[in-house]
Amino acid sequence: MARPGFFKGFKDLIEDLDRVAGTSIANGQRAAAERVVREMQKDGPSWSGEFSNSWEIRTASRTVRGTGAAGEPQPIRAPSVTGQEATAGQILKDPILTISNFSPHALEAIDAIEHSKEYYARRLTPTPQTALGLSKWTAVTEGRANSSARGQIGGGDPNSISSRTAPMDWFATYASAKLDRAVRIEMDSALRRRFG
Amino acid sequence: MNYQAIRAALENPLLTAFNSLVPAVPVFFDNITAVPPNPTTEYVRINITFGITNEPTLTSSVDNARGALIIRIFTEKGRGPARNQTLLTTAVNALENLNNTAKPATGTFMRLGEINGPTFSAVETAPHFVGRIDTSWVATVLT
Repeated sequence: MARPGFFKGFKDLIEDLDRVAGTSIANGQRAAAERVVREMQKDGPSWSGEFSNSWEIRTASRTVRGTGAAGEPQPIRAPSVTGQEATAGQILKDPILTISNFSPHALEAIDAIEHSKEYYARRLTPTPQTALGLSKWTAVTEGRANSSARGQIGGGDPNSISSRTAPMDWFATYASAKLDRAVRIEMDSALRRRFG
Repeated sequence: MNYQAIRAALENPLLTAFNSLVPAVPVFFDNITAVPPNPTTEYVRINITFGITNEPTLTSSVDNARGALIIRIFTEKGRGPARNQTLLTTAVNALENLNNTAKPATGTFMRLGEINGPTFSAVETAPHFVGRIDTSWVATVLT
Protein backbone atom coordinates (compact mmCIF):
# COMPACT_ATOMS: atom_id res chain seq x y z
CA MET A 1 0.00 0.00 0.00
CA ALA A 2 1.31 3.41 -0.93
CA ARG A 3 2.16 5.69 1.94
CA PRO A 4 0.09 8.84 2.51
CA GLY A 5 1.73 11.65 0.59
CA PHE A 6 3.23 9.27 -1.95
CA PHE A 7 0.85 10.41 -4.66
CA LYS A 8 1.38 14.07 -3.79
CA GLY A 9 5.14 13.54 -3.97
CA PHE A 10 4.78 11.67 -7.22
CA LYS A 11 2.61 14.47 -8.65
CA ASP A 12 5.19 17.06 -7.55
CA LEU A 13 7.92 15.00 -9.17
CA ILE A 14 5.99 14.82 -12.44
CA GLU A 15 5.38 18.56 -12.33
CA ASP A 16 9.05 19.22 -11.59
CA LEU A 17 10.12 16.95 -14.43
CA ASP A 18 7.66 18.69 -16.75
CA ARG A 19 9.01 22.11 -15.76
CA VAL A 20 12.64 21.05 -16.06
CA ALA A 21 12.05 19.35 -19.40
CA GLY A 22 10.08 22.36 -20.63
CA THR A 23 12.90 24.72 -19.67
CA SER A 24 15.47 22.45 -21.27
CA ILE A 25 13.49 22.24 -24.49
CA ALA A 26 13.03 26.01 -24.61
CA ASN A 27 16.76 26.54 -23.95
CA GLY A 28 17.58 23.96 -26.61
CA GLN A 29 15.36 25.73 -29.11
CA ARG A 30 16.99 29.07 -28.42
CA ALA A 31 20.48 27.58 -28.71
CA ALA A 32 19.46 25.85 -31.94
CA ALA A 33 18.17 29.12 -33.41
CA GLU A 34 21.43 30.87 -32.48
CA ARG A 35 23.49 28.05 -34.01
CA VAL A 36 21.41 28.13 -37.22
CA VAL A 37 22.03 31.86 -37.60
CA ARG A 38 25.76 31.42 -36.91
CA GLU A 39 26.02 28.64 -39.48
CA MET A 40 24.07 30.58 -42.08
CA GLN A 41 26.30 33.60 -41.51
CA LYS A 42 29.27 31.31 -42.14
CA ASP A 43 27.80 29.52 -45.18
CA GLY A 44 26.12 32.53 -46.78
CA PRO A 45 27.53 35.39 -48.81
CA SER A 46 29.52 38.11 -47.08
CA TRP A 47 30.53 40.90 -49.44
CA SER A 48 29.81 44.07 -47.49
CA GLY A 49 28.61 41.98 -44.54
CA GLU A 50 25.24 43.71 -44.47
CA PHE A 51 23.27 40.56 -45.36
CA SER A 52 24.95 38.37 -42.74
CA ASN A 53 24.23 41.00 -40.07
CA SER A 54 20.56 41.18 -41.02
CA TRP A 55 19.30 37.94 -39.50
CA GLU A 56 16.63 38.14 -36.85
CA ILE A 57 15.07 35.66 -34.42
CA ARG A 58 11.45 36.21 -33.42
CA THR A 59 9.06 34.88 -30.85
CA ALA A 60 5.40 35.88 -30.67
CA SER A 61 6.28 38.79 -28.39
CA ARG A 62 9.92 39.70 -29.02
CA THR A 63 12.37 40.13 -31.89
CA VAL A 64 16.14 40.23 -31.67
CA ARG A 65 17.74 41.65 -34.78
CA GLY A 66 21.25 41.88 -36.13
CA THR A 67 22.68 45.34 -36.66
CA GLY A 68 22.06 45.29 -40.41
CA ALA A 69 25.40 47.06 -40.75
CA ALA A 70 28.35 46.20 -42.96
CA GLY A 71 31.26 44.33 -41.40
CA GLU A 72 32.13 40.91 -40.04
CA PRO A 73 29.12 38.82 -39.01
CA GLN A 74 28.08 39.32 -35.40
CA PRO A 75 26.25 36.55 -33.54
CA ILE A 76 22.78 37.31 -32.20
CA ARG A 77 21.10 36.00 -29.05
CA ALA A 78 17.67 34.43 -29.34
CA PRO A 79 14.92 36.10 -27.30
CA SER A 80 13.66 34.21 -24.28
CA VAL A 81 10.49 32.22 -24.72
CA THR A 82 7.71 32.74 -22.20
CA GLY A 83 5.88 29.77 -20.74
CA GLN A 84 2.72 30.85 -22.49
CA GLU A 85 4.47 31.02 -25.85
CA ALA A 86 6.04 27.60 -25.38
CA THR A 87 2.69 26.10 -24.39
CA ALA A 88 0.84 27.79 -27.24
CA GLY A 89 3.49 26.54 -29.63
CA GLN A 90 3.04 22.97 -28.42
CA ILE A 91 -0.73 23.08 -28.59
CA LEU A 92 -1.25 25.09 -31.78
CA LYS A 93 1.87 23.71 -33.50
CA ASP A 94 2.90 27.25 -34.29
CA PRO A 95 6.60 28.02 -34.64
CA ILE A 96 7.99 29.15 -31.28
CA LEU A 97 11.04 30.78 -32.84
CA THR A 98 11.20 32.16 -36.36
CA ILE A 99 14.40 33.09 -38.19
CA SER A 100 14.32 35.53 -41.07
CA ASN A 101 16.51 38.08 -42.83
CA PHE A 102 15.50 41.70 -43.23
CA SER A 103 18.17 42.75 -45.75
CA PRO A 104 16.63 44.42 -48.82
CA HIS A 105 18.87 42.12 -50.89
CA ALA A 106 17.92 38.90 -49.08
CA LEU A 107 16.24 37.33 -52.11
CA GLU A 108 19.35 37.88 -54.23
CA ALA A 109 21.55 36.60 -51.42
CA ILE A 110 19.71 33.28 -51.21
CA ASP A 111 19.68 32.92 -55.01
CA ALA A 112 15.90 33.18 -55.17
CA ILE A 113 15.85 35.78 -57.95
CA GLU A 114 18.02 36.70 -60.89
CA HIS A 115 19.30 39.96 -62.29
CA SER A 116 21.17 41.27 -65.30
CA LYS A 117 24.96 41.44 -65.28
CA GLU A 118 24.66 45.25 -65.20
CA TYR A 119 22.80 45.00 -61.91
CA TYR A 120 25.67 43.10 -60.25
CA ALA A 121 28.30 45.39 -61.77
CA ARG A 122 26.50 48.36 -60.22
CA ARG A 123 26.31 46.88 -56.75
CA LEU A 124 29.72 45.43 -56.10
CA THR A 125 32.97 46.84 -54.87
CA PRO A 126 35.90 45.08 -56.60
CA THR A 127 36.58 42.76 -53.66
CA PRO A 128 34.67 41.54 -50.60
CA GLN A 129 34.82 43.95 -47.69
CA THR A 130 34.90 41.34 -44.92
CA ALA A 131 37.59 38.88 -43.89
CA LEU A 132 34.99 36.10 -43.98
CA GLY A 133 34.02 37.03 -47.54
CA LEU A 134 37.64 37.24 -48.64
CA SER A 135 38.37 33.82 -47.12
CA LYS A 136 35.83 32.15 -49.39
CA TRP A 137 35.92 34.44 -52.38
CA THR A 138 35.79 32.62 -55.70
CA ALA A 139 36.46 34.44 -58.96
CA VAL A 140 36.44 33.20 -62.56
CA THR A 141 37.95 34.90 -65.60
CA GLU A 142 34.61 35.22 -67.34
CA GLY A 143 31.87 37.74 -66.79
CA ARG A 144 28.34 36.89 -65.81
CA ALA A 145 25.73 35.65 -68.26
CA ASN A 146 23.11 38.17 -69.39
CA SER A 147 20.91 37.06 -66.55
CA SER A 148 22.07 35.18 -63.48
CA ALA A 149 21.52 34.51 -59.82
CA ARG A 150 24.10 35.83 -57.36
CA GLY A 151 25.95 32.54 -57.06
CA GLN A 152 26.03 31.80 -60.77
CA ILE A 153 29.32 33.14 -62.07
CA GLY A 154 30.93 32.85 -65.51
CA GLY A 155 29.14 32.15 -68.76
CA GLY A 156 29.57 35.68 -70.12
CA ASP A 157 32.25 38.00 -71.47
CA PRO A 158 35.60 36.12 -71.62
CA ASN A 159 37.43 39.43 -71.07
CA SER A 160 35.75 40.11 -67.76
CA ILE A 161 35.62 38.47 -64.35
CA SER A 162 32.84 37.49 -62.00
CA SER A 163 32.95 36.30 -58.43
CA ARG A 164 31.01 35.27 -55.35
CA THR A 165 31.54 34.63 -51.65
CA ALA A 166 29.13 31.71 -51.27
CA PRO A 167 28.27 28.89 -53.66
CA MET A 168 25.10 28.89 -55.70
CA ASP A 169 22.05 27.70 -53.71
CA TRP A 170 23.89 27.69 -50.37
CA PHE A 171 20.62 28.46 -48.57
CA ALA A 172 18.63 25.58 -50.10
CA THR A 173 21.56 23.29 -49.30
CA TYR A 174 21.71 24.45 -45.69
CA ALA A 175 17.96 24.09 -45.20
CA SER A 176 17.92 20.64 -46.82
CA ALA A 177 21.00 19.03 -45.39
CA LYS A 178 22.39 20.87 -42.39
CA LEU A 179 19.61 22.60 -40.51
CA ASP A 180 18.22 19.49 -38.84
CA ARG A 181 21.71 18.54 -37.67
CA ALA A 182 22.16 21.96 -36.04
CA VAL A 183 18.85 21.56 -34.21
CA ARG A 184 19.68 17.99 -33.16
CA ILE A 185 23.07 18.99 -31.74
CA GLU A 186 21.64 21.78 -29.61
CA MET A 187 18.55 19.89 -28.42
CA ASP A 188 20.68 16.86 -27.47
CA SER A 189 23.10 19.14 -25.68
CA ALA A 190 20.34 20.95 -23.72
CA LEU A 191 18.72 17.70 -22.61
CA ARG A 192 22.08 16.10 -21.76
CA ARG A 193 23.05 19.09 -19.61
CA ARG A 194 19.83 18.64 -17.65
CA PHE A 195 19.48 14.86 -17.53
CA GLY A 196 22.86 13.48 -18.64
CA MET B 1 29.81 6.99 -51.98
CA ASN B 2 29.01 7.49 -55.64
CA TYR B 3 28.23 11.12 -56.38
CA GLN B 4 27.71 10.44 -60.05
CA ALA B 5 25.09 7.76 -59.36
CA ILE B 6 23.22 10.13 -57.04
CA ARG B 7 23.32 12.92 -59.58
CA ALA B 8 22.12 10.58 -62.31
CA ALA B 9 19.25 9.32 -60.17
CA LEU B 10 17.99 12.88 -59.81
CA GLU B 11 18.79 14.23 -63.26
CA ASN B 12 17.68 11.39 -65.53
CA PRO B 13 13.94 11.40 -64.71
CA LEU B 14 13.80 15.18 -65.10
CA LEU B 15 15.74 15.15 -68.37
CA THR B 16 13.49 12.43 -69.74
CA ALA B 17 10.37 14.34 -68.72
CA PHE B 18 11.41 17.58 -70.41
CA ASN B 19 12.78 15.79 -73.49
CA SER B 20 9.43 14.03 -73.88
CA LEU B 21 7.56 17.30 -74.27
CA VAL B 22 6.68 18.46 -77.80
CA PRO B 23 8.68 20.48 -78.52
CA ALA B 24 11.36 19.33 -76.07
CA VAL B 25 12.45 21.96 -73.56
CA PRO B 26 16.22 22.36 -73.15
CA VAL B 27 17.58 21.46 -69.73
CA PHE B 28 20.85 22.77 -68.33
CA PHE B 29 22.56 21.10 -65.41
CA ASP B 30 25.41 22.15 -63.12
CA ASN B 31 28.60 23.43 -64.73
CA ILE B 32 26.88 24.06 -68.04
CA THR B 33 26.74 27.82 -68.17
CA ALA B 34 25.45 28.21 -71.72
CA VAL B 35 21.87 29.41 -71.80
CA PRO B 36 19.76 30.58 -74.73
CA PRO B 37 20.43 34.31 -75.17
CA ASN B 38 16.99 35.00 -76.54
CA PRO B 39 14.56 36.04 -73.81
CA THR B 40 11.66 34.34 -75.59
CA THR B 41 13.40 30.97 -75.47
CA GLU B 42 12.18 28.85 -72.60
CA TYR B 43 14.51 26.53 -70.78
CA VAL B 44 15.03 24.71 -67.49
CA ARG B 45 17.99 24.87 -65.15
CA ILE B 46 18.56 22.14 -62.59
CA ASN B 47 21.10 22.46 -59.81
CA ILE B 48 22.02 19.71 -57.40
CA THR B 49 23.98 20.44 -54.26
CA PHE B 50 25.54 18.06 -51.75
CA GLY B 51 25.29 19.07 -48.12
CA ILE B 52 26.35 15.96 -46.21
CA THR B 53 28.12 12.96 -47.74
CA ASN B 54 27.55 10.44 -44.99
CA GLU B 55 25.84 10.23 -41.64
CA PRO B 56 25.34 7.50 -39.07
CA THR B 57 22.07 5.65 -39.55
CA LEU B 58 20.14 3.04 -37.63
CA THR B 59 21.57 0.41 -39.94
CA SER B 60 25.26 -0.19 -40.45
CA SER B 61 25.24 1.90 -43.62
CA VAL B 62 26.79 5.34 -43.48
CA ASP B 63 26.48 5.95 -47.21
CA ASN B 64 23.57 8.26 -46.64
CA ALA B 65 24.01 11.57 -48.44
CA ARG B 66 21.81 14.64 -48.23
CA GLY B 67 21.46 17.69 -50.38
CA ALA B 68 19.17 19.98 -52.28
CA LEU B 69 17.63 19.94 -55.74
CA ILE B 70 16.70 23.31 -57.22
CA ILE B 71 14.70 23.61 -60.42
CA ARG B 72 14.26 26.92 -62.22
CA ILE B 73 11.93 27.28 -65.16
CA PHE B 74 12.54 30.20 -67.53
CA THR B 75 9.70 31.32 -69.77
CA GLU B 76 8.82 34.42 -71.73
CA LYS B 77 8.20 37.51 -69.62
CA GLY B 78 4.95 39.42 -69.91
CA ARG B 79 2.84 36.47 -71.07
CA GLY B 80 1.36 35.31 -67.76
CA PRO B 81 2.36 32.35 -65.60
CA ALA B 82 0.48 29.58 -67.46
CA ARG B 83 3.34 28.18 -69.53
CA ASN B 84 5.73 28.37 -66.59
CA GLN B 85 3.29 26.51 -64.37
CA THR B 86 2.77 23.83 -67.02
CA LEU B 87 6.51 23.18 -67.08
CA LEU B 88 6.67 23.23 -63.29
CA THR B 89 3.97 20.56 -63.26
CA THR B 90 6.14 18.42 -65.52
CA ALA B 91 8.99 18.74 -63.02
CA VAL B 92 6.81 18.04 -59.98
CA ASN B 93 5.28 14.96 -61.64
CA ALA B 94 8.76 13.61 -62.37
CA LEU B 95 9.80 14.20 -58.75
CA GLU B 96 6.68 12.52 -57.39
CA ASN B 97 7.26 9.51 -59.64
CA LEU B 98 10.82 9.34 -58.38
CA ASN B 99 9.57 9.39 -54.80
CA ASN B 100 7.12 6.58 -55.50
CA THR B 101 9.75 4.29 -56.96
CA ALA B 102 10.24 1.15 -54.89
CA LYS B 103 13.55 0.61 -53.12
CA PRO B 104 15.89 -1.28 -55.46
CA ALA B 105 18.09 -4.16 -54.35
CA THR B 106 21.17 -2.45 -55.74
CA GLY B 107 22.09 1.00 -57.01
CA THR B 108 20.89 4.24 -55.46
CA PHE B 109 17.82 4.62 -53.29
CA MET B 110 16.54 8.18 -53.49
CA ARG B 111 13.88 9.90 -51.45
CA LEU B 112 12.83 13.54 -51.69
CA GLY B 113 11.50 15.82 -49.00
CA GLU B 114 8.69 18.31 -49.31
CA ILE B 115 8.76 20.45 -52.42
CA ASN B 116 9.06 24.15 -51.58
CA GLY B 117 7.40 26.63 -53.88
CA PRO B 118 6.80 27.43 -56.59
CA THR B 119 7.95 30.99 -56.25
CA PHE B 120 7.84 33.28 -59.25
CA SER B 121 9.90 36.29 -60.15
CA ALA B 122 10.00 38.65 -63.11
CA VAL B 123 12.47 41.30 -62.02
CA GLU B 124 12.95 44.32 -64.23
CA THR B 125 16.61 43.64 -64.88
CA ALA B 126 16.21 40.02 -66.03
CA PRO B 127 14.74 38.92 -69.36
CA HIS B 128 12.67 35.90 -68.25
CA PHE B 129 9.77 35.01 -66.02
CA VAL B 130 11.25 32.51 -63.57
CA GLY B 131 9.45 29.82 -61.59
CA ARG B 132 11.44 28.04 -58.90
CA ILE B 133 10.94 24.98 -56.74
CA ASP B 134 13.37 23.22 -54.47
CA THR B 135 13.40 20.11 -52.37
CA SER B 136 15.74 18.17 -50.14
CA TRP B 137 16.96 14.70 -51.07
CA VAL B 138 18.41 11.78 -49.18
CA ALA B 139 20.25 9.13 -51.14
CA THR B 140 21.55 5.77 -50.00
CA VAL B 141 24.04 4.01 -52.24
CA LEU B 142 23.23 0.32 -51.87
CA THR B 143 26.19 -1.15 -53.70
